[in-house]
Amino acid sequence: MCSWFRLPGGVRALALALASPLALLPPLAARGEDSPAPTRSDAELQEAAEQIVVIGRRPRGQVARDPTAAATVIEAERFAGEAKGVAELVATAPGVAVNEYGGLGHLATVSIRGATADGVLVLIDGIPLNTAFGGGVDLASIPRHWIDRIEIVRGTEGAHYGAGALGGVVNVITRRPRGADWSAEASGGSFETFAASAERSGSLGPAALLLAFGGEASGGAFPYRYAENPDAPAPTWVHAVRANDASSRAGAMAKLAAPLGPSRLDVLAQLSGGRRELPGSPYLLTPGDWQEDARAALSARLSRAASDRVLLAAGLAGRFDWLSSRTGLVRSGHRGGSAALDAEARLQHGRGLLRIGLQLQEEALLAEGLGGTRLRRTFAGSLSDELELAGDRLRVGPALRVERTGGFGGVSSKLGASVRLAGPLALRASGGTTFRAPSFAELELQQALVVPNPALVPEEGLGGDAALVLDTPAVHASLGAHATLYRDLIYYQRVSFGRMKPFNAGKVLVRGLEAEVATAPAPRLLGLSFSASYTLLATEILRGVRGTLGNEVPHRARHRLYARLAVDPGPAGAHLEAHLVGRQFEDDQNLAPIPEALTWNAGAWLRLARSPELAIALEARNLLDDRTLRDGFGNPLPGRMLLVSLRSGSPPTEGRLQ
Amino acid sequence: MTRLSPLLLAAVLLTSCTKELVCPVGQTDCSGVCVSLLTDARNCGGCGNAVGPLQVCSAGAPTCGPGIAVCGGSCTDLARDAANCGGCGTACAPADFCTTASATTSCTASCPAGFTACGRACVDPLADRFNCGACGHACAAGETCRAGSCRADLQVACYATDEVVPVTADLAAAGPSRTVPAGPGFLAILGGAVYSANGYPSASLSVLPFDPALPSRHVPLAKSDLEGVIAHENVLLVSNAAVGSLVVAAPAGDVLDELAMPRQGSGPNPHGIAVLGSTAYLALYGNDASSGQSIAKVELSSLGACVAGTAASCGAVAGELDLLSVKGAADAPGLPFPSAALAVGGSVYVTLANLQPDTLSCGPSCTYTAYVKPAGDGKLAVVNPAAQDAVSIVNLPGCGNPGALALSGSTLWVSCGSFSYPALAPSALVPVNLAVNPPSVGSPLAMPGIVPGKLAFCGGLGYVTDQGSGAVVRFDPATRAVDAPVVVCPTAVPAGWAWAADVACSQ
Repeated sequence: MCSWFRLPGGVRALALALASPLALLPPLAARGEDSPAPTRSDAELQEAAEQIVVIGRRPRGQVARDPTAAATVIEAERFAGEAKGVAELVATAPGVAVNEYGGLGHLATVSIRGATADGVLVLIDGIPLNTAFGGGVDLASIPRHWIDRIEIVRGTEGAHYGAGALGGVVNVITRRPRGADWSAEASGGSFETFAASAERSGSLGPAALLLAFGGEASGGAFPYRYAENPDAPAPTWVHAVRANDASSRAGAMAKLAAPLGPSRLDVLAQLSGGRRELPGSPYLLTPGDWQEDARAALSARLSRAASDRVLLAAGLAGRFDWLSSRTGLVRSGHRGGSAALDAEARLQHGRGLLRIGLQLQEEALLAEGLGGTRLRRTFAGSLSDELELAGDRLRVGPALRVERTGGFGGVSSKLGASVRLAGPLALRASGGTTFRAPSFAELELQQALVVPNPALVPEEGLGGDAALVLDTPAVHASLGAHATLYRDLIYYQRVSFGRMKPFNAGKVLVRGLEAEVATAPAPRLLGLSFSASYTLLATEILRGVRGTLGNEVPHRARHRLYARLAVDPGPAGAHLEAHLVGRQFEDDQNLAPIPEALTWNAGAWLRLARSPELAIALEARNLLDDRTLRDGFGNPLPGRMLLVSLRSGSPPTEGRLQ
Repeated sequence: MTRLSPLLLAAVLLTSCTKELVCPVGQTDCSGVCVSLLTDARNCGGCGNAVGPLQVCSAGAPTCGPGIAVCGGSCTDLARDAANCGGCGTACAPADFCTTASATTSCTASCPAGFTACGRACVDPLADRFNCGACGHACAAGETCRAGSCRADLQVACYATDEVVPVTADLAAAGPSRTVPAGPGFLAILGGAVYSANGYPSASLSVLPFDPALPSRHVPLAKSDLEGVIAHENVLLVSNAAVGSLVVAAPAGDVLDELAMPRQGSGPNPHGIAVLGSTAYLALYGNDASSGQSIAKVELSSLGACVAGTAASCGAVAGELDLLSVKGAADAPGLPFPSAALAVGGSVYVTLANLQPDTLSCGPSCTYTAYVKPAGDGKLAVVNPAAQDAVSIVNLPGCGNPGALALSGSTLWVSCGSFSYPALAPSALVPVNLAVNPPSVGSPLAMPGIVPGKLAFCGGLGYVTDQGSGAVVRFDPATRAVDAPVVVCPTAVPAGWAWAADVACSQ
């Protein structure tokens, strides 16, 4: 369901919104094809343009971009006061796996439908965060304070979002300026964890402006238990306190939305940076290791309704990244940036909506080990359509994107369809292909024991899925199946003298089921609501040495379950969450299992005042204080963590917690 | 198009979903197994082409095996064929047997003591390679029948291709290789099996029975770096460098106990293991001055009870010999970096790499510092348990960056060499005479063309692996004659490298 479509009645407090293509029809498309275009006043045109602009204002990142795709929209405000970052939020969606490397502000990457982190495009307000250096996007580097919602699109989405979306797309949408709203939040809790944020919306003449600031820090010294002899029949557990584990991050954002006659200008500026210490394994502590990063992003987009059927838009976006680290004896880092120019035209025709897009991007990267500045140019042209057939019962969405990135070119394609079966029940299906060009690191980086391979070719993804979607005022549910073949996956392999080198060695088949439900079965009963998502992910290695064929891909849990029960009677609320990550393997021989892990979180909030709004919230993560929790690579995760937050703001408006 | 494209998509998916077995260079996938069509007896020249009972596969064609003659155009075993006993056409009487004993073949009315009748041949099942342990149980080409089981002379750990390759004393193939879950770095022999300590990407201990009819077993261990395995009494001792522990395993592979090394969080990085009496000595290689640089002592007095299941623990860490306080253990600014260990007589010998930090290039405009450069000659730490573990140091002139140790008679041979510093650490084996006190160091035996890795002695000859390839070199410790390197380990695909990580005598 489109994120800007207000959920009716009792389901207004639901966290998960399901992609329902039938809810995305813009008002103008509802007219019959034989209806003549009426004469409209300037005010009516402006209003119509606003509606089109609302759809088109989020370039490349909106679920409406591919209405037949498997998608989940997560409203951040539903988790207000719960200190959930991007990693915790996306982990609530089906088909998504988050790999944490220590928790508490440390590296977190995302995998969708079994793809590697490199195979998932992560965008913030449509600006791609995946750099030409590669390695995926660190979700912990995205400031959490001003997230409005996160759109997760699953599947081979290169035709709609660009090469690199082998497994899917995560688009983080930040808040929009809203009148004269303001809010502030401060929190503190276990392990010297503190956070503060503030935002203010206002007007600059006819323009709306949003300014936001935020910061957080954690001492990271959490107690944990580890086995000093993990392979012994009866291991000896040792109590320890995590050292060299502090992290801190701060950021600022400014957003401007300004009407310029018949046009509209949207400007976004973001700045963020942080430092984290790297504690190492309990068996090899690294007291001197650390990492620092910074990012600046700027985008400007001008859109104009040329008529009541045609929207034209052009945008300019720039991004600068900087990363420096010390790991062991090696000091490394890289910095780079990109500038992109894109243009888009949307034509509302009798059968639907046609989009034509062009993009030009130049990316530069400078890193120790690359031997100088590297440049990569991307040129892409895309064409997509949303066709309505058989009245409004059937929607078909073909898409094609031709792209050249550096020395690699390719075509991404997608065909999707959705049909309303009966009443609120719909069937959705899609299939597509896309590719990922090798990164600079894979092609050229030589650093310590890592060597490059300039002979690499792009990875490929070929996938399809189908799902039944139920969308009623009381229940939103979806049950789908998918299959994706990944070919020429780039894996680092051992070579002589202890070095590691990337090769196009991987071929994997991923199949699975994705289910989610969001319901408010008894809204009058304390505002009771329930939401859950389940993922069955069956991975199969199709290319490898003996003993690996047919095995599961390492670090891909077969089962994942998220469930949340909440009560929200109005002036207070509470919730209970469960996260189950099933058994997975450390190795491609499937000899070394990582046991399943079940964690519980809980929280409550209480409104202290209405105007201005003032609320206090308490959150407990890892409620049962399991101090033996590990991430998939053996790093300890924190035990029970308590957080208290105080939030204040202008009186609730549409979309705010009430 | 809406109806067709899912079908087309499904068709493409189905045809692309076939499994692809990746075989080393020169090998072919035959029914899910990588084999050499040039030497594999069951796939000689092509998949499924099995050679005959008296044949071997040579250069991809079936030929009569060693010691097999040709009679009337057919391979004939003159030592066991009653119709051609000792010669073509020499037939024994209908009730007689063809017997070969003390290199003499004759027809006999019955089988001598110690011989078993297999058909019309009298054979020694303990040594007959065509009837090894039982009638009709033939050893693979290159294997020898010893004590009723077929064995190759040597086992070579081929790290790049995750396999253990059996070879003859001449370094020729001797039976099928055994696949292990990860790169095998260290081998040990115990009873009727070879044990492989496997490292990256996930550590494991493999139990590989010499009898291929018995299944292999792979026991996962924590993390991904094992740096030593030895057989002691009836257990395996494994150094888990990534965890910083000593693992005690039963012959079947089950872990009996695991003992954490001192200062575990600093990364002690245990390497070589030696046992003297009931005490194990572990070389703690470490990473820098704050880790390792010592020899850990582990008392194994409860090992027997542990094996019997009547004791919870197999032993306990009993102390640490700090090499940083031993004069001469390293040349400033180097650190000792103890590596391999061996117990001989009443002493424990531990090689000391004696390395200092150096700035290395990690690419254009990139450098890092690591302890890799020889600070001087390699050294040998001699631990005397009878003298309260007194440690004395023996300098090894001509031996830079010493690694492995192996004993031949009363001479301890040390492998020496470095890829990055050939002038400081030339490729050589250095003999140390332990028959005198203090031990005397002999002149280095140059090993041109390779950088010596692991060492083993077998049948009076020495074998040393090359750290930079899949080759093994044979040498005679008595005459100091050195053979040309022989490539034993295949080249991995697509990584394009081979590495003979260890060699063990399985005679």
